[in-house]
Amino acid sequence: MDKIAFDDQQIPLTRLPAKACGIVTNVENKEELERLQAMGLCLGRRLEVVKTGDPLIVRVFGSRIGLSYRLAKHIGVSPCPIAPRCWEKEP
Amino acid sequence: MNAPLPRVVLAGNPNAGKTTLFNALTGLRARTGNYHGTTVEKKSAILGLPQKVELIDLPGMYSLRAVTEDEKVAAQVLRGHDAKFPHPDVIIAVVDASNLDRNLFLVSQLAECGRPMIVALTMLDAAAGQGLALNTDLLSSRLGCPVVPVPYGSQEGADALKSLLGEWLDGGVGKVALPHRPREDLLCGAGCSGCPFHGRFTWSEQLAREVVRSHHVIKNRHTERLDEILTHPWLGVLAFLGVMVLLFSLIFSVAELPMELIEGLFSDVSAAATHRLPDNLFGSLVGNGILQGVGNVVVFLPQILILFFFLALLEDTGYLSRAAFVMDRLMKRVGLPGTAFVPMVSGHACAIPAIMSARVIENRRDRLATILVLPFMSCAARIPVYVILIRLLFPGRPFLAGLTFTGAYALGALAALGTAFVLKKTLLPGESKPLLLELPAYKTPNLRNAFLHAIQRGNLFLKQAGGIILLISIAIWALSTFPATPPPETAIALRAEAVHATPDEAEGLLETAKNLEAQHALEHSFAGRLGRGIEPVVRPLGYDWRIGIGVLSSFAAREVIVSTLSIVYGLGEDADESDQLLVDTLREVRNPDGSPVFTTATAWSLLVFYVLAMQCLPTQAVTRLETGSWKWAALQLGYMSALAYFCALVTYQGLRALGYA
Repeated sequence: MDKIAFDDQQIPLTRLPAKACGIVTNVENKEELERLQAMGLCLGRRLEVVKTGDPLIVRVFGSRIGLSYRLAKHIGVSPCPIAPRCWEKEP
Repeated sequence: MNAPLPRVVLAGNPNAGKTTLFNALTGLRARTGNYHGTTVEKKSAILGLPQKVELIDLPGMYSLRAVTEDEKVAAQVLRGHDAKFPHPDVIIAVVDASNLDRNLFLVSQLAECGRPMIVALTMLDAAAGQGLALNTDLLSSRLGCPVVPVPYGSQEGADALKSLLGEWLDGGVGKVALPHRPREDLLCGAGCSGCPFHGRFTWSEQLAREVVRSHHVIKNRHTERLDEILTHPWLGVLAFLGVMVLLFSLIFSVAELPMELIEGLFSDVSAAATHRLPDNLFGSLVGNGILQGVGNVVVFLPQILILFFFLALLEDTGYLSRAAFVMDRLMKRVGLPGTAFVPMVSGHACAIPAIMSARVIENRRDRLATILVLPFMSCAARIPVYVILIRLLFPGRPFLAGLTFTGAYALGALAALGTAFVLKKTLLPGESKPLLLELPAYKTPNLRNAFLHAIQRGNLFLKQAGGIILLISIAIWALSTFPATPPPETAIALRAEAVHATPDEAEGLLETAKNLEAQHALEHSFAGRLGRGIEPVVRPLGYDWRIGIGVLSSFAAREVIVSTLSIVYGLGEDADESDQLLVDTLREVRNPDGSPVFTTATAWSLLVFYVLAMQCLPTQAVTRLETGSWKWAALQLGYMSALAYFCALVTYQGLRALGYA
């Protein structure tokens, strides 16, 4: 899969530092799309990075999800200022 | 035919406490099998409420939009479109109260299945620990279905569920009000163009917020602290290796005693039976064929029970998903997911439970590749063979012996990882499925669950593989017994001599006669003839026809070569690897031209062969069971034997060329 062209606000999930929050703005991985969506990694959801690296851990929709770097680099997020526990707040 | 029983299904997210509830409802009555035409495990039980119902524990899932094979089956059952998976009469939605948002998401989809539904609330203590208080009445009125709290570790919730189900069945399930469907416009709001689940996620978040009064939210510090270590790139790997070494040595040490007892018991029973039974074919069939065959099945049980007991405990604590997490980065280099590592390590005790435990691997291709390479791992049954060959090679040199022992284990592991890599490049192409899994909060494991899980696994093995293993054992017995041959003249002469000898001498003479007869019978049996027949094939590996018989008989089980060699070299059938006489005899045996049979080159070649060859028919039976086809079992047998042959050939010819004849 090719690199996604991210706009100014959008960065790959892999570039979000630990403890930072983001809103999912793009999910490019078509093969794993449904699996990602079912876990809560879908457009418009908020997430918080718990641990960076490969694999990394994000907190989304009330639980901690471990996902491999390969998946995370195809997820675009726009960093959001409310932190921590942003995934609990109203969008 | 009886009318089919009403069906009640348990559905819920993985880690929501479904299994605990299922066990509380059913206890030991649970049966495990597969869903028709799949390798997905079906757990069910018949409950008396007092009306009989079938309770089915569906595989855990996050959404009805099925992705994994397990989820697909669960979704098919819930939707009930397929005649193979008749729809349920009642759905019990198992909901983790400490993670309500995520769990309600699935509930919103379950509510749309158009079946009466009960919500069973689990993990209430964990929710209370986080400072969450739930308004169950409000939840019940919003969902339009009863909500039953199921406290952890008590029978109360299970009883309440049973009596509610009983009432429903009394009045007729058709009359029960259906749960509210979440409003369409709510589900498909602004997010509809992007993620189809967005509206549903928002709906469940809002409902969760409504019913939960959190006074002071306490973060799960416990889980976070532990995870800093257990998911650390290298500390986590170290911790995992530590856990696995512990598990592995437990299987080894704890299983040893019951295994010895079982083996002892069956050989005693079979000896006693041989004494009582007439000394003829029938007696031999019962004693050596059937009883030994049953023993061959039962002897695997201790390892299976112990492995699955501890794996269930580890899974219950939430640790296994961390293990998959840290191993993923390393395992993906050979094209396998992190989840493949647990079966790989367990394979060092015995390939059979290890293959059964490969069910944790989601992706079918990854799982197949793992199953196919697992028998390369040096299992406990290889140890007697390694011991005897290494004692032949390095008598009185413990350091070299130890090094060779370690080398044999390393060769097996290397072959497994190498073949996995090749398989994932060729036959089962594709990168390993990228890791994506929930890391649930750590919790205290439930001993009862682990115990029941181990029992179910043991049952499954006995029921599905037991018959095949027994048949194979009888076939091997027949091959080494028929055609019956008259005893050799030397043995007859010895027996005649014994009649006139002193009692002490007579005993020795009869023993020798018996060993000669056994040797003669085996040499002239079908197995013996096959051994002679394959001599041209095994000659380039440095084996004579007697070793050929040993190798052939090992296809039933590797350790058999020890007793086979003992028989063909005239020492009787009771020798084991610690027997110095056997080692000495092997060192002394000569070819017709006077050269020794067991040269350094032959012993090395035999060692390499036993590390790599697929010589375990029970494993083949389990491979067939877990992959759903004999094709994979045949492939496993084929390439492992070919690799073993090739490597043994290179070893023998190479060593000979270097002068180690």
